[in-house]
Order: sequence, then C-alpha cells, then structure tokens
Amino acid sequence: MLQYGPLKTEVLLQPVSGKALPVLRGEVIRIIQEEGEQCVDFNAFNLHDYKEYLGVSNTRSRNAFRVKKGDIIWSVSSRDRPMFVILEIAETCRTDLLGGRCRASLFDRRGYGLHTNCQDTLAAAIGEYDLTPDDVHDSLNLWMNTEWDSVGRYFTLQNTGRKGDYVDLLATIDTLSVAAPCGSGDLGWTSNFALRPIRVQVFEASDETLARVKEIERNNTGFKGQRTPEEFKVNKIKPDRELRRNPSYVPEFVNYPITNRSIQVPLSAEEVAKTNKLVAAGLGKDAGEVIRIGVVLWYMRNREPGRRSR
Amino acid sequence: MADSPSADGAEIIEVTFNQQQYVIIEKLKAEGHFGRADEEIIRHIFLEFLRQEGM
Repeated sequence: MLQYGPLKTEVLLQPVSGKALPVLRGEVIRIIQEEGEQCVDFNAFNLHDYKEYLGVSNTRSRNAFRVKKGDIIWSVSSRDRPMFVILEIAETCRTDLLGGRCRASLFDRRGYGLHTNCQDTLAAAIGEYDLTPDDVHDSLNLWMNTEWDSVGRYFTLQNTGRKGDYVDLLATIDTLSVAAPCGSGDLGWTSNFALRPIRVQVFEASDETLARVKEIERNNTGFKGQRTPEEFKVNKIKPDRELRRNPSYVPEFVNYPITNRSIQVPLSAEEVAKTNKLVAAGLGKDAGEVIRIGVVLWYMRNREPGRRSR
Repeated sequence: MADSPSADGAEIIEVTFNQQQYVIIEKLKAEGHFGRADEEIIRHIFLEFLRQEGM
C-alpha cells in the first residue's frame, strides 16, 4: 500500500447529503462505510475546467462494467485523460458503471412523492461551486451490487458493504470530487432498505502518490485525441441556451473522406483453400475480406502496445 | 475478389485497405522483416495469422 500524505479533510455525510471537495493531483480521497450497506454515488470534475468530468462510458469501455483495484477512472471522451486510479477497494465493494443515478421522478411515479435521490443530492452539493443540476453526470457507483441477465435486464441485489470498508481513489489531475450516499436505498436492495451515513477523507499528496501519478501520466497521456479546449475547433462555452445554426461553420471530420487502395496478393492453391475455409466459416464475405481482417487481427494481437487479450 | 485461378489452383486475390488500415502495412514495412512490397507483407502476415489460428 502506498504511503499517503497527512489527512487534509474529513467529512461525515449524513443521509442523504453530499459534499464537493477539491482533491488535487497526488491526493487520495477515501470513501468509507460508516455503518455499512450504503451505496455511494461519485461524481468528479476537473477543478480548473468543469467541462472535463468523470466519463463513466469511457471508463466502462476501457475497463469493464465494473472497475477494480488498479483500474484507471477516465475523464469524458472529448478529453480522455486519467482522472483517478483505484488504489484500494474493499472486496465487499461491488462497483457499477451501468446504472443511471436515481432521480426524484422515479419515486414520484411509484407513489412516494418527493423522495431523496442522487441527481438532487449531487446537484445540491456542486451548487457550492456554481455548477447547475445539468452538470451532474452519470455516477461511478460504489457498493452497488447489480447484475444483469442474458437479455440485458438489470437489477439490484443485496448491498454487501460492511462497516469500515473503504475505497481509495488517487487523483491524477486536480479535481472537484463529490461523494453522496445514494438516496434510493430505503426503497430497495441498493442500500438494504435503509439510508446510512458515509465518511469521506482526503489525504495530501506524498512522494509515493506523486510517483504513481507520474507513472500513470507516462503510460496514459500524450495520445492523439487527448485534447485540450485550445485544440477544439469550437472551444467557447455557449452562454445562452437556444441552439442556432452557424452558417459559416465548416466541419472537419477525421480522415475524411475514407479512401481505399487495392493490392493484388498472390496465394498458392493450399493458401487459397485455407482462405476459403475461413470464408465458409463466416470470417468475411470473400477471400479479399478475409485476408484484410486476418492482417488487421494479427496486427492487433501482435503489435498493438498494451492491448488486453479479448 | 479473385482473378481467374491458374492451373495449379494458385490465385491473385485483390485485398482492399483504407488509408487508416494501410498504416498497418506501412508500420510492418518499416519493421523490415516481413518484406518490402505491400503484397509480400500482406501475404506474410496473413500466413502468420493462419498459423496462429492453427491452420
């Protein structure tokens, strides 16, 4: 376990409240089960540019439907940078990157009137930094024990969190981090039909945490597409809400138009027979397509740096 | 797409790559040990692919 810096901030979040806390590069935010069995929703923003925020779909596509110890939590695809790495995570903490945050209407339509919910809790918390309810984004869900079946139906199982369990996230950029006990838990297994407090601590950076950040930066930044607003063709945040067409705008699509080049490849009779077997097996529509797919697959498997086997 | 097969069953297969896929051929060309011509590199890599597929 890395040595963290001294404790900088500690808050106890009673149900159902949240707190936006600056967590700077190299610092660690620890989210603790004060009593256990409480689902936690987590949002985060670049402290210096709120348009860069935690990208749930980006994190999901780079890791899995669930994240685990050592996984990187990425910002949205327009920026595509590491925001956190999971340093420690209790084995009872089932993570979830599929479920949308709960919101008031879900409960009202079930007859419960105005009920606690993560959309409103997170919005109330980030308001301290002049962010609006529209700025709340999909949550990194912690201690959210979800499953799905073979046809994609999604459901929640009993919360497995225990008192004292925690998750440690190391910030790799300066962030505004927001944790909130989920407000839906008293009406389901999300938090086992109760609402409970959580504790949040922030530890200062240390030489060890900063060294880990630098390692992550070395391996995961500097790629095409990891853009800053200065690189955006349109980079001003719209001050008004109405959308109006800009008649002088000319889009610049990547590598557009797509062009093809044909190459004549000689194969022996035996090689043709093998290729045709793959056509028959459905790898491609014809021999040319099978060869193209084969070459690209070979390259992906044998030459792409750091590619996971799939 | 294949042209007319020769008497021994060998064929010339037309393989199409777009400019993004062709980057792969350029990278393999730069490695130097899969051949120099595009068709040579593609054939070599495809045979490697077949071998890895157990064919």
